[in-house]
Amino acid sequence: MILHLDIDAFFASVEQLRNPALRGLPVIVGSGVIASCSYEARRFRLRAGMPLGKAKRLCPGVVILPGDSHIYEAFAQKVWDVCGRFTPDMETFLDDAYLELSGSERLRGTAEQIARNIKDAVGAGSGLSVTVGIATSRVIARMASAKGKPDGLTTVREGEERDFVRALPVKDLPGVGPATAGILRKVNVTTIGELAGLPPHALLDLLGRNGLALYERANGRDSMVIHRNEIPRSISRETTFRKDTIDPAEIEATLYYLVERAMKTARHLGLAARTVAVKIRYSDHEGDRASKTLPHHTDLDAEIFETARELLGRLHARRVSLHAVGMALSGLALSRTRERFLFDPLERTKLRRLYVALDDLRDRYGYAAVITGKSIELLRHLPRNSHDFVLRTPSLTK
Amino acid sequence: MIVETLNETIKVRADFQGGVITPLAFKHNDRTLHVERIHARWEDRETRFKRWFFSVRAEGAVYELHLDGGDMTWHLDRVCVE
Repeated sequence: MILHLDIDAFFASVEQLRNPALRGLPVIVGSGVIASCSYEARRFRLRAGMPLGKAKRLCPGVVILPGDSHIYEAFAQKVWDVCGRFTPDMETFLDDAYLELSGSERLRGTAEQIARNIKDAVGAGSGLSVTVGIATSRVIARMASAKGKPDGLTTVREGEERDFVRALPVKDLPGVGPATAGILRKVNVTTIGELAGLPPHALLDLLGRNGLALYERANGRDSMVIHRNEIPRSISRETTFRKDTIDPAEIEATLYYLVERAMKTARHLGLAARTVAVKIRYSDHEGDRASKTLPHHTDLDAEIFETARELLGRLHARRVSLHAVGMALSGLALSRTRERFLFDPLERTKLRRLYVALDDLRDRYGYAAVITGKSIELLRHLPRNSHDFVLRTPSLTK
Repeated sequence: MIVETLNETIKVRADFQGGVITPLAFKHNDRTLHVERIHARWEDRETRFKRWFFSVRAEGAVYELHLDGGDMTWHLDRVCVE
């Protein structure tokens, strides 16, 4: 059986734990848009992704907090540490995780017993409440946990999958976004049961290969397995500017800083990246994104930044201020086992040693202990605390 | 609610029994504040030396403090007053 665990109103719950005066109040965390909102805030129809201005109109008394990704990561780690006591087969994301229980049931009881024990242990260890869904597949487990929120436990037994999903709206099926839901609505498909009843070739015509995957899921079948977090699909960092800017020095400096942060994480995980993506958002909310795949993997900031800068130059074509910039590394592979670095020229080897030394210094004395390259420009634009620059919206993406 | 960032190094009386760190009292502005309750605790493992963070209630306010595992100094990060 697979267990999907979702931390209830994660960021807002952490803020309510940190400061009990916030308990019972509508609390939202976010900058620009809502990243997380408490269940009290949800009663006012506030939802993640909603602009803060609209949130204030709907709920004038709402408490708005900027958030702190370091703290949320620390709390998430507490939860994953608890889960790791029950099974080693776990795939974690920012505020949810999939646990493979098949090997644990003989040792630790039924899936429901394990789920109850995990819920109790997470509550005792972190103070957070979690909702759990149990099923034979990832997709159904995730849908079961979504049904049980908050603080719930829902089990879908083998053979009950189709009945469980049949009456649910089609937008609840993972993989169905607003665009796909719109296409399906045009052919009068609004529930998962209706989707399951369509012939697969019709879905293939309508939605391409994704249509076949949705057909399988709608019929309660899903073969995705749990991947341990050894190699993430991507590492991304993004932020909004404190004030929308068109200053190329500030934009490049911010991009440089984001590249450094992402690459430090990659090296910490022993990974090298091959694909670099950059995205920008203008002050008029228009945005754009571009990516480039390098001829080989690299774990050197300078090589990634050169590519990122090239992409930024291509993207930032309008004479409009930027509101946000972000970058992502993908095509990640373990660098330690990559023999290609064995034959690197001396210059690259030296550069790699320099970055590792910088990582060590920053680990020891805080990130802002050493400010390099274009990041120096940020000293003019960003405040610093004892550890780092204080970004307006630090990336919350793993 | 007012949140004030402090970033001060402080002296703390703490219990380390059983490997669990529990701050009991700390000095701030020449006054000893007794910890009435620990609301939350978390660890930052991003740096080489672990840092242990605490959100505590003392004399009607919520304080956040942390112990730096590198040099074993305590820091008062912020105070929230209702």
